Amino acid sequence: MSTATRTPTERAGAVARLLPGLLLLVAVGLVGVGLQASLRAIGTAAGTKLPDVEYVLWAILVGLAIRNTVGVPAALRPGVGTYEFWLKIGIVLLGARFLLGDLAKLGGFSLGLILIDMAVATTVILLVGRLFGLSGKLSTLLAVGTSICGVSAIIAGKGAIDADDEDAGYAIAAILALGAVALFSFPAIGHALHLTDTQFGLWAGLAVDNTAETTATGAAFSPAAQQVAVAVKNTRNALIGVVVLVYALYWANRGGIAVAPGWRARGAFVWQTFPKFVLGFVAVSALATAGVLGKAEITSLGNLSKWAFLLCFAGVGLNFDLREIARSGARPLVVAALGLVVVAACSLGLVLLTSGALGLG
Amino acid sequence: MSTPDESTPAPDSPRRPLGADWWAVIVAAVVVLLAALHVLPAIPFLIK
Repeated sequence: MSTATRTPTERAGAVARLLPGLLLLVAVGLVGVGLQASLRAIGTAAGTKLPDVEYVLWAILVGLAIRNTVGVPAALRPGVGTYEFWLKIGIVLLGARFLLGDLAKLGGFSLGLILIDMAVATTVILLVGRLFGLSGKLSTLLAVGTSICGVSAIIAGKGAIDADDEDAGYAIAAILALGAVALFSFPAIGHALHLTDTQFGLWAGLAVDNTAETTATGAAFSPAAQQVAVAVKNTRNALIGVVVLVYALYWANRGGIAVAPGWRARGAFVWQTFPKFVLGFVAVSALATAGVLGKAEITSLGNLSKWAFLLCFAGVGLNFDLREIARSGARPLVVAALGLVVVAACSLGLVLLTSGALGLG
Repeated sequence: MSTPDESTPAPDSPRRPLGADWWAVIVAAVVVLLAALHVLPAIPFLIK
């Protein structure tokens, strides 16, 4: 989104190129909302209780169907590709819903669980990756993606360890495919186990790898679960720079890129990979805690974040190409799937064991 | 890997463009500022 060297006309042209795809995101999101409302209305009219499938899942399913049947025309792709931008805006605005103290409590509590999960995910992925004959760098990318932040971490890790584009593509495809599986299976498991909103949010935030899919998984359970999931995922995201730096140092003498020596250079590396929207999220939470925002404003900002997430969820489906996933082959997918199952089970166990003890149940 | 010719002047280092992260923060900051100034209209969502 560079505008540094653009003339006003070029900027207007760039915005105009985004509009058709943005309209498609809005349309798909609205269809998702309409489908949930229609199903509810049919259930009420018929006097039967139909499953209340959240608009989040409908929006993703509709997007997925469009992308993998008629496809997304080239003219719409720039706008459709902005979905992560809307995700980040939604996350920053969602900060208004949190008191800083609650955020610190949730972040501090989840940090311990995140570190345990990271150790488990890394060990399992690296071991299973070796067992399945994956290259060390592909296993590393899968471990980074599973333990931290999905696609962003894989992209940062790819540059840091000098991995191939092909390896990064495999890892991203595997992480996204498994995120989609989690998106549809986690809410059903959560309801079956009668998890509270906080427990489910903690679980989704700990175990679902890609931020967009974490947010959608939380929303598919309940709005309160979504808020907790986003807060926990932001804590994970904040660790991206440190984790990637550790992997970069490991690979520096094993065919990776030499890491600049000294604390200053390494600090700059961590800052460069740090997701800045996490800072925005905390800053907005601080403003809400300080009383700068009234109740009505907090409600409006919360609703605005839902609109931003709606565009993001539509984009998740519209950008999900099943053929690309199929092309990535079975082995990276199987390794990442085993990692996901272990991390999901481990996270769920940790959440059930600890959330009650800490009064977060 | 080619070695840069020392007689060639170093190109001007271009200003690094703002990434999507910063743009998202800036757009959200404008919205939050409007809310803090009580000029953000009430925004509903479609579904509870």
